[in-house]
Amino acid sequence: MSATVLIVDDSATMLMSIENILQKIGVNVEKASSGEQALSKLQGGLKVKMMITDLNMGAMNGIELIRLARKVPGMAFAPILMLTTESQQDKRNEAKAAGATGWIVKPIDGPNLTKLVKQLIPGV
Amino acid sequence: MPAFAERHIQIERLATPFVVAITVVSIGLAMGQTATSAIAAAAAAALVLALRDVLMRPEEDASSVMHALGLGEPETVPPSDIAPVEISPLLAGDTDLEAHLATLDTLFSRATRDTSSVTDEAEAAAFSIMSSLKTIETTIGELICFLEASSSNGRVLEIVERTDHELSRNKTLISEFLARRDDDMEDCTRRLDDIETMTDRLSGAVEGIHAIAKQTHLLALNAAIEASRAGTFGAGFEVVAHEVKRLSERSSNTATEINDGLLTLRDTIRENLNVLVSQRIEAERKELDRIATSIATLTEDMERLVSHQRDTLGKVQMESGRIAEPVLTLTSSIQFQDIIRQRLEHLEMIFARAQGDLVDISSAQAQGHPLPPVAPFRDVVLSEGPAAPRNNAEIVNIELF
Repeated sequence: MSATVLIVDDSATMLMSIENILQKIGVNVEKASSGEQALSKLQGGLKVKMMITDLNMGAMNGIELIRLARKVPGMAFAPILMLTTESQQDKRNEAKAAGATGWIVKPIDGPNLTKLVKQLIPGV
Repeated sequence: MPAFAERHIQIERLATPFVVAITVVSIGLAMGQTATSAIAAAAAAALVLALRDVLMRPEEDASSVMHALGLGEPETVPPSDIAPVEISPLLAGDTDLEAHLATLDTLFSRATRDTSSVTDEAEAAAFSIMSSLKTIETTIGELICFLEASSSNGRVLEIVERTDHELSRNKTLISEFLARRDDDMEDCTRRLDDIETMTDRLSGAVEGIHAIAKQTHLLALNAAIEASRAGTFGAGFEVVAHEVKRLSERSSNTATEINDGLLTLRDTIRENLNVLVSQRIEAERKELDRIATSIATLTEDMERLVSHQRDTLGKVQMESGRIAEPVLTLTSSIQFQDIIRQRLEHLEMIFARAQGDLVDISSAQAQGHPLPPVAPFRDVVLSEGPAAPRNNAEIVNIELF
């Protein structure tokens, strides 16, 4: 059974781009176009091996999503990556404090993303 | 202080943060990878500089400012599908400064609207490109599968057909060979049996001749004895008896010669048959050679078939990898749209903040109050936005905590 990764971004283009890259390595992709939608999926019982989220997204931003997602059963230790156009250190620190596993500055190419996912999800 | 000097100072205060901020953004973006955004930001900086220069001219009115900025006549814009930008009633006034401020407000409204429009259009275009790429990728995948299944079929069928033909030919050859071999062997055995029978029969006849000769010899001996008893009267008969004895000896000798001849004949026939068998073996060897050649051809065809299949598979795999790589790169590259969107949204936020600042300035001007402090606004325009330049070595693009 392939691992499921939840990707969260308010950009349909980003969702499609990341989905396309991850599907190449046999990962099952779940998409959410907002923090609220992602949280709802997780609270609804969606089991994921990893979450990749954007930072700036409407009402609930990525950092808030991570903070709330960490409280969902099964998400306490799952890798959560922030994929964003931001690169400021204070934002990184804030994300780290909220429970982020890593920080990726957009854009990210296929080889680097797949390498990262393989590194964080054993067996992919 | 003269009114013009006051206005000059106010305009300087208004324009300077924009010039600084947008120039910084322009330089930053120009160092980055997205040339379009850099050009857009540079154009915005040039726009603000031009705006400042125009506002420095004391006699310009709002319409001429718009015209001088290259924004076109009001009636020529905007396009029908975009809501028109109205001159702000809050800022419309009687003085030149109020008119200029109203124009600036309109300018920022329009900049915000245009930026938003670019964002939407870029997003729609990027989504369309991504969708097309996915379709292309799927189609190429299906095409490769189809080629894998069908392109080799023609050649495979041809080779299989040839192989089948060779196999049928070999089967016929073997059947014919075996049938001929059986017929020949049967014929040969039958002829050998006939010869043996005939030889035995003749040998029996020779034995009879020997017996007759023996009896004749005995008869001649008795005749000689009787002739000697008869004395002178039997002298002639003795001659006859002697001749009969000689005749029996000659008969016996002839019978022996015939028997020897028959034995020699049988041996000769056997030898000839051996020669014939040898020739037959040679013929069979040739037949077997033909079969071996045919089998070799068959094997060669099978090897070609395997080789062809291997080549096809290798080619398909290579082409698949060759096509997949640029498509994957393209799908990654399309992320630029989201970066541009966020940069433009950041600029929109700055424009909105500038618009708010203009309202505050206008209010203060109308009511004769001091101008609001510029520091909060400057902090906004100088604050870091999304998507710092990618070639900044100090920025870690991938960081695991």
